[in-house]
Amino acid sequence: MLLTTEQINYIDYVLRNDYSFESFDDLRVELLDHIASDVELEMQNTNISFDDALPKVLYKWKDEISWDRTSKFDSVPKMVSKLWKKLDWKYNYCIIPLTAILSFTAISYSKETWLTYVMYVIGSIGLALGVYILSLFRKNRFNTVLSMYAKNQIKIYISLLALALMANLAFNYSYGDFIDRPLLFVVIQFSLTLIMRSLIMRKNIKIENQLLKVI
Amino acid sequence: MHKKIMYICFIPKDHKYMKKQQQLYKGSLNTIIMKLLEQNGKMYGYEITQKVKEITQGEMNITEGALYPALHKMEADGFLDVEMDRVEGRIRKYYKLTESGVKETVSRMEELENFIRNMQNIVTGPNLKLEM
Repeated sequence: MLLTTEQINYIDYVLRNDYSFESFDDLRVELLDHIASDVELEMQNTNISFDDALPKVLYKWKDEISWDRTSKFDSVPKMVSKLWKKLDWKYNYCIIPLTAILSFTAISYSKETWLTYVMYVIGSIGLALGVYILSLFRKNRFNTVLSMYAKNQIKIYISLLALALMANLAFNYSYGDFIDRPLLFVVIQFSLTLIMRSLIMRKNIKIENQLLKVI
Repeated sequence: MHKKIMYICFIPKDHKYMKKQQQLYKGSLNTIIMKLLEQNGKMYGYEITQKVKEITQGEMNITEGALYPALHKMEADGFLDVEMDRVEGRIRKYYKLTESGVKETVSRMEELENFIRNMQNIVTGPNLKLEM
């Protein structure tokens, strides 16, 4: 028994409004298809109406689609926060040891001015990527789990990176040389974060193209 | 506490058995999904749950809470590729193995086969002696 367009739209409405899937287009269409298929089977097997079958199916999903109140991510369904936590390990936390290694390596070159220039280049790349990601958000037609993750706190990272670069530049000018780089750790940390976010956005483009094909 | 004991006492035998079976299957969920995708080319989430139910004659039930995190993780790891299509008035997201996903499936299947062989040797082998 196939659902009508009206019934499918109603499930979409429920997911958007009752379960905070408004900002996750890719996941919402996937869940919508799964829930609709399950509702169809339920209606066929138990001979009940759509109005009775939908709550029954949604009940199976309640743990996954409700808000995860223990998560550090605000107002997102548990499914999303689970994936974001995994992305955190892959794209966020791994940066900390990498930054530490690079910063400690830089100690051996403490008198070299070229390293300060390298730091400014890395910082500029980070800033440029941050601005590029922001411009992608403006053009985006869809919000996905990946794009919303990449967007999370991005303006803060860009601002802090710009501030760190300016502070280090002011420091260099006040001492009249390019040897000191007290904000190296901060610049590397935020630049790598923005580089990682741009990698996520690259993956997201693929998902967006798929959505564009069908919506 | 009293309620809990009552609940445990009244769990039907079949339910307890199913729960134990589920725990055994849990560690192999990704391998099962990858194997199914290798055999069927491309599949969507609901289809995977139904196929597993059909193959295991209802003994294994992949819950939604386990399936999608596993699929999304494998997609993020680059083992799965996605394709979307409009079917029956809604959008359907299909998963298929990438090149690295195919290689990963082969190696995971080898690991699983070795595990099953070892378990079989242990279970059916002559008096098992533990050496310290």
